[in-house]
Amino acid sequence: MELGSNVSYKINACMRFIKILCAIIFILFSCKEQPQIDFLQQNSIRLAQPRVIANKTFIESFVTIEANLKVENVIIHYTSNGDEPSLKSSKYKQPIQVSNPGVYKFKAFHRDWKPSEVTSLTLFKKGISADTILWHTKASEKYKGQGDNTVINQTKAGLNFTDNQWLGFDTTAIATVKFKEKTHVKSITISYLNDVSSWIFPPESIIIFVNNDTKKEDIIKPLSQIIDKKNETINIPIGAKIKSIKIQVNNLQSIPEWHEGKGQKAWLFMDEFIFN
Amino acid sequence: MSRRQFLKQSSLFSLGILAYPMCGNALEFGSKKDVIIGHNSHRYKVDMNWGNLDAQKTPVKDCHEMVQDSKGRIVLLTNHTKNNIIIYDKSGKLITTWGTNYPGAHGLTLVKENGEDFLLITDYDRHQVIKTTIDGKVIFEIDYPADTGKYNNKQAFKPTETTVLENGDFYVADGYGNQYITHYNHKGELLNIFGGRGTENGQFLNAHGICYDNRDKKNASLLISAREMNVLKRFDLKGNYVESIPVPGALICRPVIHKNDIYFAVLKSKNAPNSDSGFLLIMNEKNEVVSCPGATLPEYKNNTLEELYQTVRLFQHPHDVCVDDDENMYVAQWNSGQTYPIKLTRV
Repeated sequence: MELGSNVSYKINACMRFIKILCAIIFILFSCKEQPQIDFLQQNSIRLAQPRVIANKTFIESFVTIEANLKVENVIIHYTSNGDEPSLKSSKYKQPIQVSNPGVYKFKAFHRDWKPSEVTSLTLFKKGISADTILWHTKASEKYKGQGDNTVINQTKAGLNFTDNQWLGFDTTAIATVKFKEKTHVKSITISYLNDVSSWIFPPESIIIFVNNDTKKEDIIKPLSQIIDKKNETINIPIGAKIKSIKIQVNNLQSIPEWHEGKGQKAWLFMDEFIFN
Repeated sequence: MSRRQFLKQSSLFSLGILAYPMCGNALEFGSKKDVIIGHNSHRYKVDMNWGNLDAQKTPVKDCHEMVQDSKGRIVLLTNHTKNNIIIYDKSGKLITTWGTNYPGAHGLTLVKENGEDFLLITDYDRHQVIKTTIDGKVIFEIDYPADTGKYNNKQAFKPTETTVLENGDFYVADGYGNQYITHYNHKGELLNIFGGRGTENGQFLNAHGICYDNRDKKNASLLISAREMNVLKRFDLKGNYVESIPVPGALICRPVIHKNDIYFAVLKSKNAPNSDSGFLLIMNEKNEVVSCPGATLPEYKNNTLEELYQTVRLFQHPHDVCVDDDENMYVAQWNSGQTYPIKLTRV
């Protein structure tokens, strides 16, 4: 009885060993037959930038801003002081009303995806209305916006260069703006499109003529690489009482070496002249 | 529980623990979370490593289009003239390459004739459509349709895509040129021309892709993407305009029909600040958008599709998709830093 059970124990132990061995071999083989694919991980991919839309970009009393990124469980945070939003910044819950000009920044966060890049929105104080504009050079037939007044209609353009709030030039742009009466103008802000993948570059230089005075303002140093498209502005101080002002915006004469259009003239797209 | 039973169970248990790491990360716990993109019936995991090759030996420039041949192999067309055609198996293993004189290699269509595979390649740089065998022997070359009077010179013809009917007739879309659709018989003789640049119903801005749609056998037609307009247009086989299917926000490349669905690479989102804002789009048998991998959930309000846009920065500029016989998808990208295609596994 005792001997018998000993033998059966040994057989059992042996069987168990074989079973385990078979199991290991099976697992090893099944691993080999179905190689694991290293699928892309969520925490390595960034969310897209939130979409931010303001009902106006020139503030008279207040402006309503809507931010959105249609992703489940996404959270958008924003700042109104130009700082990069963090999880500690104000949380966007519904359209916000603002009355101060400045830079509003929005950023999307998610528990699984990497946070987005920042979407910036610049709001301007409603400027002094210009009365007329006379163009000495003409916008391209294809990109003539809403006509001559496009840059003084107090309406900004979207980021798409086909938006009809853009005036597009492949030459220097020269215009004279007149006011109804002599007005004190502190500064002019020229708003332009930076979309180098579409051959639309910031201006090379801007020259302002007021009251027989010439004021030259050179633009930011040339770009060194393709960046995401942006609506940018340059502010030039005037500080004079004027009835009219002549503005000459020079398009980039030679696209830099790194760009596919190197050596050729760049496009210049402007949506607004803002007088304060 | 006797001690022996306990031992038996515990040894199997520890065996299980040991076995987990051998099978990779399938059962690993932690923060790892596979990306799953797409909506409703069409969701995918993403394999960025699929098809990656030694860029010194087998480089790519833009990966323009892909098809699966009769042997189940994945055929990629790139405008890199060291190897314009790269043939993979479904696991991404390189099988062979050929082609060194297709600098503007853009459109790739599989043609099956009497059990043999051929390819139709459009080359916008050579201003030609070229028919080859599956291993690269040239059968014929087609130049611009001079006799039609729609073209002043060879350079105005920049074909982007072809599609083939059962009888061997094929159509060419001139998406980078004068925007005409030309219809040829199987010998390459011109039968018809229609379309042209413009915003009328029967015209195109960037007629980038064309596809023969015989899902409705009694009513076969052509689907043509007007990429710049974010619209898919349907024509009958004689070139008469039938209808437009708007896809707001989506710069759709060619339609690819697989079973009853239509698949598209979307080059970019119309209103995104970043140019590399592409995604994928899938329509069902009723031509309703049901899934947008990498983008917003498609939603219809009052029968109108809401604007679609990229939500995660996964794809850069997807240019074509190929759906294989396992329902998995391959994505070829333009201007993505010379990357190889991406494989999506349907879940």
